[in-house]
Amino acid sequence: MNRKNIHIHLSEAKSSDGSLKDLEIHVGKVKGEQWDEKEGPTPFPDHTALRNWDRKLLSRYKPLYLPFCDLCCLCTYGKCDLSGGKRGACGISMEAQQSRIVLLAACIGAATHISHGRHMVSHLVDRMGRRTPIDVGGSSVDVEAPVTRLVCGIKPKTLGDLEIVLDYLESQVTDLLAAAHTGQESDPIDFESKVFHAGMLDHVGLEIADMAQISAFNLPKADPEAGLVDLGPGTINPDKPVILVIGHNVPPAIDIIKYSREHDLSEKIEVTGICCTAIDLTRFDPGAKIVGPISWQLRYIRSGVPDLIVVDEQCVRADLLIEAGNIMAPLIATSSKNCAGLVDRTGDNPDDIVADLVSGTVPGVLILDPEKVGEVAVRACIESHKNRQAQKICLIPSREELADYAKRCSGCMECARACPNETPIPDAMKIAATGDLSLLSEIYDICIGCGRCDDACNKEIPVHSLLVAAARDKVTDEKYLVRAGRGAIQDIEIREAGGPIVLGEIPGVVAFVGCANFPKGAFEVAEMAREFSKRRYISVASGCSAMAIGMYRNEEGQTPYEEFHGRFDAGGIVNVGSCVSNAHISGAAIKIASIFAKRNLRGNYEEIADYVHNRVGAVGVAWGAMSQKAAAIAAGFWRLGIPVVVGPHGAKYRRMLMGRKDHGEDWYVYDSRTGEKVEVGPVPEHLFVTAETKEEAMVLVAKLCMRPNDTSRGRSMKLTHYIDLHKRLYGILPDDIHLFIRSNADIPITMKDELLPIIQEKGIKDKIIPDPTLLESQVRARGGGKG
Amino acid sequence: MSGQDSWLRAETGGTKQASVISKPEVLLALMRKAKRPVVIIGHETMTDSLRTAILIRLVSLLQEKGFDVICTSHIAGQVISHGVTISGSFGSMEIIDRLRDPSWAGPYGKGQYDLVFIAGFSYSLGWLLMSGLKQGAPDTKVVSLDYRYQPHASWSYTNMKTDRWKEEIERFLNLILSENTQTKLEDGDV
Repeated sequence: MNRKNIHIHLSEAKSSDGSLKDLEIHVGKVKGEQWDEKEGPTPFPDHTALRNWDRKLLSRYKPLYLPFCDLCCLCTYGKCDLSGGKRGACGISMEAQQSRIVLLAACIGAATHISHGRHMVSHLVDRMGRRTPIDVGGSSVDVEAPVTRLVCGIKPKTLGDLEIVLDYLESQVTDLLAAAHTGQESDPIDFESKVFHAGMLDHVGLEIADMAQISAFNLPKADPEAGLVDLGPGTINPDKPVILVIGHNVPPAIDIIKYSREHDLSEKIEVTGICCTAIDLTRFDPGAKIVGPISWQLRYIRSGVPDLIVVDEQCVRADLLIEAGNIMAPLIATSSKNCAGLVDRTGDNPDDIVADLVSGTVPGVLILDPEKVGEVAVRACIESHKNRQAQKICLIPSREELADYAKRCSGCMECARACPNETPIPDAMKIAATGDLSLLSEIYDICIGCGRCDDACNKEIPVHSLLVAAARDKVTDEKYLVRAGRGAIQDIEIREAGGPIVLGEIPGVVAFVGCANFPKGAFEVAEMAREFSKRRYISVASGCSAMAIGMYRNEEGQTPYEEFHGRFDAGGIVNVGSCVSNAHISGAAIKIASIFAKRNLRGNYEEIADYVHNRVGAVGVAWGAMSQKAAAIAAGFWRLGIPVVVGPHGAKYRRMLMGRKDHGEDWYVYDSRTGEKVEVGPVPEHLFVTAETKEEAMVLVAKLCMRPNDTSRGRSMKLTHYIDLHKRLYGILPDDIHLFIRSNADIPITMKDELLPIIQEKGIKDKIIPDPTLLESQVRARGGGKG
Repeated sequence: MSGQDSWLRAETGGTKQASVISKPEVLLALMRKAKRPVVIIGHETMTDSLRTAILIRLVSLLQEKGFDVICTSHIAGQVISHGVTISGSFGSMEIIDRLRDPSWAGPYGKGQYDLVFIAGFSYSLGWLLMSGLKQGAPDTKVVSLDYRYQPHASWSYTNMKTDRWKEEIERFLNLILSENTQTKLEDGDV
């Protein structure tokens, strides 16, 4: 790194030419430091600065631990049995050990996004210079970096400013990781506080990465009308040379586009992508095509369509070099974090690299210069296509081959015992052997593409390929549209929607985020998003979940992105972009506090989190959350007091944060106008919870959108949705309605006859609607007395 | 299929693993010793058609024998439509959270449960729920009634095909029905 942060302060200096007093010189400081907003109490907080806030949340939302096993196996004292209240050789308890595991996951996730941001910023600084201005929305976005402003207390103006933020993030993640070492942190709640800290840092890292790429690559700038782009294998023309890019860090893929444009090859090749690199690539070039989420890697590669594969970082399968080799497609690794065992050819002549790749002399290469990747990938892909066309390579068996394979199956059940979605593969094989592929094809719909079935098979049946073969027609028909990631939410959108959200009249903001480890297929995410947008919630999406929403057609043949508008307003489905764009979702919640409520953001985390928690009815849904990054993203929402619902696989994060609605004493806030403690009911009831089914998740989301600040009109609307969904999906009325009704004015008018007897039976007394806060400091700040 | 192996090969339980339910008398003995039993049924009770009918019969009978019935996820209405009176509908995490709390007195305020029968969950979710109970409520007897071996339970059926499992559940049903006249527990069953 060729950058230094220097601060010189001369109290007094005298020379024969004159004297100087209180001279301060800063090198490497943020350009916008002359920001006149009052600085809050916690700029650049360390991991204990917000501990009290975390403990407030964690006293209401207590961890529920669900260990995979009884053991800790992190050091050579172990394995240690921690079951039944036993402690490990280092003295650690099961609770602390589980929270430590959560911290490790959150640190890995945060480090990954921060490292992503660092590589992005370094790359762009090298190419464009430190003074390159940050611009995520032109005149539509004045609060350009809400998370960074809030956490760090600075207002970044240039790419160079972002480096200072990254320095802070890196040092903090190092501290957090150190806390997980044997003999450090011992208390589960302190571990959890550190998890929250990792999550908060993660969102800053996300914001840095996306701000940098939006600014430098001119990606859509807070554009609600961002164009629709192609999604699905069926949109790809396999007769052209096809490049497949996989991962999250988009510069190499962008240089592929640039090279093909400069050489007039754009119409002659297909540039396709999987996972977030694909999303970000379509933000740069709407002509690029998204194959699908992370789980489409094996099925698409085995189809033989890609002529060359380029991988960058994150969520790239570790066996892609083998898979690529099986279809004779060269592979280019482009990230220092994923070298794949390949020889570093960054310094070599592109002609030589292309020749080696095309001839098969090497299966792949590592090239750490994105521009060179652009040239080599395009040239090698065109040549590779010629070779591969002659050989017709496809690993998806024909119908006849499929039946032959199926006949090999001995019904040993090992594939079923490896399948995370418990699919009935042996039964499907049995009938496939008779020529009936229907069950295999059904399994394709809920397969997450992990390929564990292949490895488990003793008869060397390529089970996953058989699923794809059985669903061949479906795969060909996978032609959808998704709105390109728009990036930030405009200030004007916040100004207009902020009030209705805070008052509860827009019933909630539901963010569909995270990976594609879906229990019953991608379509469930689309169904949930459509349901909430039809109900005038704001659905927001990112990453693989944004793709999953697009992979659906209604009765008129529209995808959800055609059916619903893309504005941050009631009834929209708003695709913010890739994983790193998740910062725009937390950023929108923060901006509501800033733009609508005029609260100071600068280094003022606790107050803003308190505001968001008590007023902004937002809920995250990570239905297929798989990764450590998803854990970190969720943790960033938790610290803001925003609940997150995960699908059943999300229980494998091994810790929930559960409220107890039967503990009335947990549900008090201060009324900041008077300082009185006011009972507000369990709103929101949980901070992190698994739902077994889509139906349960939808009811939970409607319930978790309620906030203490809801007006009666707002609460009445939210209750309408909660009760209506509950009745439709559960078949009965919810049994906790009385907990959310503060006075008769809250009762939905159309449900009065049904609900009044219940309310009367429970003997509900009218409660006031407070100006809610969990912070005593807010009572003092706003002139109230202490209750 | 082997007995005391986790159904998902990669899952490993730990130092203390569920005893296998080799005969239904074991379950009956647990029922007799229990002061406050509950049966918790997950969504697969209703969505897995192979299991629905027999599990509903079992749950109904357990209810007659003093069990509370709690369902999770979104199946409450369907369960009620089968004539079962439920004591509550909770999220799966919510009920585990309450079961680990010694001060929770149950839906009727009668006191914490000491015997928990569990059925109708996906394998990996059931695994985690039972792990939560094993660690958080170590004195509670937890019985997995599904057809896959769940090491984190106190007692579990072994890995079985559904036909064989149905036979086992039928045996249990018949035993409950005839318990007053025929059943005699052998020493050491539990």
